[in-house]
Order: sequence, then C-alpha cells, then structure tokens
Amino acid sequence: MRNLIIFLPVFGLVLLGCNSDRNSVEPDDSTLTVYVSFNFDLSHIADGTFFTKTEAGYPISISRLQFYLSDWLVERKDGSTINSDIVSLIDAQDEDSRRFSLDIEAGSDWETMHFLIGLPTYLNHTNALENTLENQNMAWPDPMGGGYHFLKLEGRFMDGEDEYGYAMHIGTDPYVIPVQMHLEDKAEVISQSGEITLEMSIKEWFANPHTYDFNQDGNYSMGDTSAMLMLAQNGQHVFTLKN
Amino acid sequence: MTRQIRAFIIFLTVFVLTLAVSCESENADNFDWPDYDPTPIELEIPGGFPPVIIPPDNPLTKEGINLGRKLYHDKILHIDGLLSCSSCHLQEYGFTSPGTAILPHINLAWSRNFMWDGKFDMINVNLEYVSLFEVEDFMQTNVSRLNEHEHYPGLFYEAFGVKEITSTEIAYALAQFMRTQVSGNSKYDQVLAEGIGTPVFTEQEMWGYELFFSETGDCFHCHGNKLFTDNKFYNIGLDSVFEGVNKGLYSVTGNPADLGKFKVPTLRNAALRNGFMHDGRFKSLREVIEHYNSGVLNSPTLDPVMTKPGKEFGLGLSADEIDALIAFIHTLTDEEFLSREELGPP
Ligand code: HEC
Ligand code: HEC
Repeated sequence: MRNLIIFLPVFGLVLLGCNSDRNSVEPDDSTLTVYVSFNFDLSHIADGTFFTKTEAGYPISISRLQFYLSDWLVERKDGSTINSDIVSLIDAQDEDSRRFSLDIEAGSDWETMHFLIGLPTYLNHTNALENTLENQNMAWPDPMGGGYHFLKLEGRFMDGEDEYGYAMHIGTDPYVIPVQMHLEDKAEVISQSGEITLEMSIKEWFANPHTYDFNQDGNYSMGDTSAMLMLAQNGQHVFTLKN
Repeated sequence: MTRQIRAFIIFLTVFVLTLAVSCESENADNFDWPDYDPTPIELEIPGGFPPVIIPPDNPLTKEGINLGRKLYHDKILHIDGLLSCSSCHLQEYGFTSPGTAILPHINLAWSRNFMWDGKFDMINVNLEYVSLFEVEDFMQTNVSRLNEHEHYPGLFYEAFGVKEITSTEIAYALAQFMRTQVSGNSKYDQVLAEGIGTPVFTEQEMWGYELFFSETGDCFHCHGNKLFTDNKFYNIGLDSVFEGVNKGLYSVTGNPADLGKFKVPTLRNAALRNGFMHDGRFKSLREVIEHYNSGVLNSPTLDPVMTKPGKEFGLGLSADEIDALIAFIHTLTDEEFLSREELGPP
C-alpha cells in the first residue's frame, strides 16, 4: 500500500513530464479530447508496402504523413459558438501527437464542428508558431511565401512496372483546408465520453471531388498551385467522425 | 606447500595490500579534495535556434565544460595514448578532418540521431550515450590512468563530486563540452539578423539562398531550419544497389525500407570540407550538387522529394545556378566558431 501511495504521484509526475514540448494541452477530464486515427495500418509507414490504390489506379505506399489541425469552432443548436485556438501538429508515426485536448468542454447541444487542416492566416507566417524543431521542419520557406506546410503526405507510387516518389505538400493561405463536421445524434455520446475520434481516409486525398493523377497532375505539389488546389479541395472530405 | 610458494603468497598479499593502501591514500584519504560546488552555466543559444533539451542528470556547469574541453583535447583517453577526440575532430574544419567522412561536431546539442547510419537503434539517444560509446568502445579508455593522474581526480571531483572516475563521468564531461560547440554566427545568420551594420548577401549568394529555399533547388526539405539538418535519415539516390557501408540505417534496423538512408549532415561550415557523404565519395561541393542535379539513382527507398515531374535524375539546374548554390553554402561558414578560444585546447 505504501508503495502504491508513493508510486501514484510519481507516476503522475512522469505522465505530466512526457509531452512538455508539444503545442497542445494535456488531455484532462473536463475538456474535449481529440483523437486522430487513420483508415490504414500505420505500420505501413515504416515498412514501405504498397497497401492501397488511388482512385486513378496507382498503388501507393506512404513514408510520411504530417499535418496541422487548428482554429476549432463549435456551433451549438441555439446558434451560439465556442472556439479553441489550440494548434496541433499531427505526425501519423508519433502516437502521442495523435491525441490532444482542446480547451473547451464538450456539450450535448453541439451541432457542427469546424476546424482547419493547416493554419489560420494569423499563424501562417514565418516563426509564428512555438520555436520547436518539429515546427521548424514544417516551415514553408520565405522565398515561397513563408509560413508552414499544412500537409506533408509522401510516399511512392507504381506506374505499371515502374516506381516513383510522390510528395503532396500544401501550404500558403489560399490552400488552407476548412473541414466541417455535423455531429447530429453523436453530440450526446461525445459529450458523455469527452472524446471525439476523427478518422482520416487516405484515398480521399486523391478522390473527391478531383481524381488526382500523379502523372497528369504532378507527383510533387509544392509551389504547383493547381495541384495544391485540387488536394486542398479533396482534403475537405478526408475526415469522418468515428464515435 | 613448499617454502617458495608460501613466500610468494605472502609477497603477493603484501604487494596487493600495499597497492590498495597506496591507492587509497593517494585518491581518498590524504588527497586534498577541492570543493564540490559546480557553477551552473546557461547555454548561449543563437537567435532563432530551437530550445536545447539538456538531460536533467547532466546540467551544464563551468567545471564540467572545462573538464570536457581538457579531455576532448587529451590523448590520455586513447588506450595507447595515440589519439584525442581533436585528432580527428579538428576545430579549424568545424571539428572534422578534411577529405574524410568524419562527422563534424557542430550544434550536436540539438541532435537526436548520431552517426551516419544511426548506429544506436534506440530512441532518445543523447550526447552522453554517444560519448560513453566513444570512451568505452572506440578509445577504449584506460580509466585508471585518469584516476592516477596528478590533476584529473580533483577536476572530476569539482565537476561531479566523485572520488573515483568512471567512464560515465568522462562521457558526461565530454557531452557538456560538445554542447558548447555551437555555430550560429555565420554570414547567413548575420544577414538574417538584419541589424544596423549587418552584412548583406551578394547578388549571387541571394540567388543561391532563393534556390536553396525553394522547389528549384529544394534543399530545405532536409537541410532546412536553423540547424541545416532536420535530424532525420534519407536515401538521396547515391546508389541503387546497397552493399557494405552503403546500406545505411538498414544495417542498424534490418528494415528493408531503410536501405541507403543516412543521417542528414548539417551544412553549417560544410564549405570547409573536401570529403562529402557517409563514405567521403565527393571531393567538392560542386560534385555534391552535380549529384543532386543529374546523378540521382532510383531505388525503392529513394526519398519522394528527390523526384519531381520531368526531373527523374535530378534538378536540372544551370551552371550559374549551381555556382549560386555553392556561393550560398559558403555563407554558412562561421569564422568565429572555427577560432573560438574556449573550444580549442586549454
Ligand atoms: C580516428 C578518428 C576519430 C576520433 C579519434 C574520434 N572520432 Fe568521433 N567520429 C569519427 C568518425 C569517422 C565519425 C562518424 C562515424 C559514423 O558515423 O559511423 C565520428 C562521429 C562522432 C560523433 C557523432 C556525430 C554525429 O553527428 O552523429 C560524435 C558525438 C563523436 N564522434 C564524438 C567523439 C568523441 C567524444 C571523441 C573522443 C572521445 C571522438 N569522437 C574521437 C572519428 C573519430
Ligand atoms: C531528401 C533529403 C535531402 C535533400 C532534399 C537534400 N539533401 Fe543534402 N543530404 C541529405 C542526406 C541524407 C545527406 C547524407 C547522405 C549520405 O551520406 O549518404 C546529405 C548530404 C549533403 C551534403 C554533404 C555534407 C557532408 O558533410 O558530407 C551536402 C553538401 C548537401 N547534402 C547539400 C545539399 C544541397 C545543396 C541540396 C539541394 C540541392 C540538398 N543537399 C538536398 C539529405 C538531403
């Protein structure tokens, strides 16, 4: 028993110490926890397997998947709103980054949730985010407009027998991706569990409304405004609610 | 038992006892131990650099850093007394040696991966861990030589409060010193500081900067940020068949997806080098950029950012653009760092 009494606070301290260098707030009982999941086995990121096919028919692998989520706004049934300016950098390969807490309390009267894949204009300029190596590595260089990469989705694709790389990068204000989620009958469940699960579908990046074709539309999107526009529009549909 | 043997045993016992007593008296009892009250030191971080994570059990102290500096430049660490760290890691070249694949010691305080192929297959490797490897496995330091030394026991006591030196304290002192090998005062840094009297880029350097930090040159994806390395591992298409030393991270992880991936080296002070890449295969910056320009080889682990539409084998830069990139990399040379007295031999 004594051991347990000592152990518990120490364990708590260890937990607190874990994620001190992230932007987001630690999960906590009263605030809403967001959990980001993916519709594929994440071990494929490390093993390089061609595990799925794009709408245009190319088998793909994924070697990197990182993006920002920000600018959260909830509309209640009575029309009032609450918002959270928590910014989270999600790295599919970093388990810790996929769960974060918004500084708002979930309510059963929630109707619609809005957020951005990317960053709002006021944060999308060089050095606006906390100075961490992770944020610096997401920088969108000044000669290309400054700010940050909203998304880095990279891997390889098969074109017949041949294999090439693709790098789908999105950045700069016009290509930020607004996402809207109608909670409908799930508001009650979310408010009770205090947790919301958003699942990203990889196929959607290349499917809807634009069938993205690496050969025609480019396998490297950075600085290619028409490629970024297609991806940004597709990006509005990549998340679904999984509660 | 014969007399001789008995005599020998007595002799041995006396000898060992004498040894033990003499060591005791020298190193513990009669030794005049100095005070253990190390002075904390705050690492000076150049503008815009991310914060440094310093392990709580090895905070920087004046005594620790000074001791690390002395050890770094002392051949006593080598089993045969032939080499010091600085025999290979030479300050005037950014703590590497020309013509070799010796990794430089530049801003390692921020490093999260060490050695070209990652070597230590674990997360959270830090400078303490790497230094311990250098001391125990590479230099095979004979620790008793330090314990018997005229000055070292006192210096270690002042820094760490220990009366018996072990490889751990040696590694900790080296790690402290290496955290002070900070280079962030190159022309590039001064230009970016944009103060009164700060230098400006020449037209060619500016062009190189723009190429470096845009999709045309596309160097920033891996050598971006203030450190000029993102601290990760990539295959940049040097080979398409991977053997021996060219297997890279694979030789540590055994994961075929890691074949040919190597640590991204910093480009700070890289203009001083004349052996580039993990095997020193290129002899000039021009050869390096020629590789990125037209020598990229495809393979299943080639990094995705290395292939752009219509540019399968590289960037397709003009000769003038290559010159501009080289000029820009020269602005990352930090003369103050290369001659900073506190980093040289004490
Ligand atoms: C004989 C030459 C030699 C000596 C002496 C030497 N090193 Fe090195 N050092 C190297 C080489 C070569 C590498 C790169 C090896 C690799 O990546 O496999 C290296 C790499 C390193 C690295 C990793 C750098 C990075 O960016 O990952 C550290 C840290 C280091 N050395 C510390 C030391 C210390 C401390 C000493 C003295 C105790 C020392 N070295 C002595 C040749 C040397
Ligand atoms: C995909 C990531 C990536 C990109 C993009 C990239 N590099 Fe590298 N760079 C690396 C890696 C990894 C190495 C080490 C490779 C090895 O040794 O096998 C390296 C090595 C170098 C070196 C040798 C440094 C040394 O100390 O040996 C130079 C110089 C260099 N790169 C310059 C550039 C320039 C200039 C560009 C843009 C034209 C560029 N790199 C683009 C990842 C990259």
